[in-house]
Amino acid sequence: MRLYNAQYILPGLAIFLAAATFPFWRGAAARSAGFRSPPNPAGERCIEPKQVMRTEHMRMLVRWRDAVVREDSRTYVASDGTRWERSLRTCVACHGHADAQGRSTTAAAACSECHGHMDASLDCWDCHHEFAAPGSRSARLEPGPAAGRGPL
Amino acid sequence: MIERAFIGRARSQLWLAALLIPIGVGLACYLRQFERGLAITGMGRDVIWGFYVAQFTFLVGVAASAVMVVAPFYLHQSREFARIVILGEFLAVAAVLLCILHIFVDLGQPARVLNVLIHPAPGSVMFWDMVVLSGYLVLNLVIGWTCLDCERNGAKPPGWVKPLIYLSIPWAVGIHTVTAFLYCGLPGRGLWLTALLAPRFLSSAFASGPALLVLICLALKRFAGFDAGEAGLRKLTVTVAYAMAANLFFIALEFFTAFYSGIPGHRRDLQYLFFGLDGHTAMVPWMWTSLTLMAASIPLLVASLRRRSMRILAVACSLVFVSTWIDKGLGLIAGGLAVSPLETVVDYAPTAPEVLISVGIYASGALILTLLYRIVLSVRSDADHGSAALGADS
Amino acid sequence: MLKLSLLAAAGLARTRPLFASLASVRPEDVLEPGAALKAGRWAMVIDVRKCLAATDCPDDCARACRSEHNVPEIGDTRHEVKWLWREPGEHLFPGELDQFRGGELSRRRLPALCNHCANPPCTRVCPTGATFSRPDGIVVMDPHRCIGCRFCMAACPYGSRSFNWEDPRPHLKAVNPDYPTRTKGVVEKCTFCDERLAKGRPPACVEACKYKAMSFGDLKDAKSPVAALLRDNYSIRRKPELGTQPAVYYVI
Repeated sequence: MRLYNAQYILPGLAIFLAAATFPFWRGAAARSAGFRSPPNPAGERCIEPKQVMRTEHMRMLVRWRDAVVREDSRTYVASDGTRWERSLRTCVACHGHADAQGRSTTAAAACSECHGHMDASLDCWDCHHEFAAPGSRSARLEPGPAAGRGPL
Repeated sequence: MIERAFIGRARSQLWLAALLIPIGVGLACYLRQFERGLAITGMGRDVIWGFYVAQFTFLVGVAASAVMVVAPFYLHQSREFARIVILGEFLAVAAVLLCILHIFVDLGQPARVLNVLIHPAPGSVMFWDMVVLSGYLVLNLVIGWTCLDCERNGAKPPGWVKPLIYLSIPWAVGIHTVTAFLYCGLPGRGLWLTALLAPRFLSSAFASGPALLVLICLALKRFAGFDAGEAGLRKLTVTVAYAMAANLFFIALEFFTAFYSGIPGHRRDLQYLFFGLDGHTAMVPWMWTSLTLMAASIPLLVASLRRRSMRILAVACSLVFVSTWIDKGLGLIAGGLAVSPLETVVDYAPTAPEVLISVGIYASGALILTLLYRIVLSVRSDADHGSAALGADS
Repeated sequence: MLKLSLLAAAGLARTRPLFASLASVRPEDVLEPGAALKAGRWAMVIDVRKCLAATDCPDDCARACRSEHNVPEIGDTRHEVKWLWREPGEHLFPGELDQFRGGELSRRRLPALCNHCANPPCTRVCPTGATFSRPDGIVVMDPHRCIGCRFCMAACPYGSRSFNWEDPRPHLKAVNPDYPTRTKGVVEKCTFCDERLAKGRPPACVEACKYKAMSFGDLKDAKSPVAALLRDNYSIRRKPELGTQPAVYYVI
């Protein structure tokens, strides 16, 4: 068996492989650059257990987004029965801290620290406010009538 | 077969290199638009579509016009088109790619373009336009490539290509009809709200597309030594002449309905384009130039047939192309949007970066077309020299 | 790590969460009962007689709307963003106003906003479902899904939709931290203050007008203020001949 036009095919294949695997190299380079832990949040507990939040927060946020914007469904019942307003403000209330002017980039910093590390782009803060409003009330809602529980 | 695309004479390589300049400039302008937003264009809250969408509309016509060589060749065995039909199919491929690029640069959130597939909305004409355009691209690429490959091997095209060819004929009409539906289904846009829009689109497309094909054939004969055959060009000329006559007739019909009925919603857009409205006359010279060139092209086309003059034919086809481009590529979109829903008149002119982005897209289309035509020409010259068996990859 | 890299390589990292959105409504998606305002068909009635009487109207409806929703004030008229604004009557009702009453209606500026049509052309043409009608008639905009094709703006016969030709944030004088801004490249519009309705509050414009010229309520509820106003007064809607069935009525 003979490979025709090897002088074109082999370099072409090499270039293709290099381009196709580029994200891996880039990601590896970014991750080796070291990682600073995001600042500790202010609240005493998160909406769901820490491990769930760590792996599921993105799905949760997308679900929240669609529930609020598309289904006008704004209350989230956590697996322990607590009720929360589906809003990024709920996140910011703990993960962001307002300074005297009511502005702090802490929430965005907490997100972007990790997202930058994972090389995942994040555009929430293009529109949503990364700071908590001065004197903003707790996002945790008063207990209401019983409702079903779910993982998200 | 694809390696033939990269082999060419020095002049041809120089042409490709020259095309890279406008492509680079267009890309740089697009990066700026990506960064700053569509504010760098001349569009605004009233004229919400401009140069990009207009070029898209015009180029869908160029793509659809391939049917004017495909249908006679395959349905009526018009042998005059034997050397042209593949040129028409590959022109359609390049034109559809240009359409897609023009739509892409018009998007405010290009990174989300896949939402059209992730959240398909079958009620939206834009969804169907995407379906028919990508289908047409695949059809022409597959048909053209397969037939050419068979020609290279001296074999008959396989049986499965025939149904695809027959499918591509109504499909060509379909792409421009669906494109017209983008506009003529919108309430409150008087210039577009007419059942005649799709026929008008098709008639101007069947004039401008074949005219471009004639010009390409004349250029290939002069610069690449490829002769498409006079008989084929003459037949194309007849097509262009009839299509242009139909196009002018349709425009006259629009004028009658709009001005005789006197309904403001229908009259004012044509009035804006051809006579000016509330002191806004920016489009008037363009539209009359277009109309004059359209009218002048028909006697010239006839004269070129009578005198068998390629020079007159080149002039006539240039007039057809320029006049239909002004009509669709400038007047149609700006004219349909200039009178806002709140009855104010807003002039539109594209900005320099906007035009440069579009020029860059056109240049990339020319690049793709050149590569495709190189394959065609190289296969043809092998065939002409009876040396198909001694092709490049032996 | 590897999984993420794979997704990044395929360019899917951004789109993956969108697939998750296909999940169906689950039982925990129940609404906070009691608090929200609900209707079969939301509608607004603008009493033009009150607008005309208020010769010193300070434009409170438009101001309230802008500050509530972080609507930018962009100097360039071509790039303006409008949710609710005031426009001369002859622009709202071209060729329809009585010319024998001194032309006051034609000249005076009246509130203009999204009509929240029952048969909206904008939602029909949207290729991604980014804009759609809620069961209660509100035409909403999901800016997360919008690709910025502006087909909806071409379809809207009222000029009630705006596109972000550039980043709106530099054009905001003050920011309401309780409402997001938008980003460049997406379309936006009046939402009948769906975020306020969910908290049991009427639309900001209705609340702000000190002449009580704007009424808001359920068209399907015979006892609602809008139903009563429309029953007892002569009202018109913008461009009724287009069959869009606006939910904004003008009592003249």
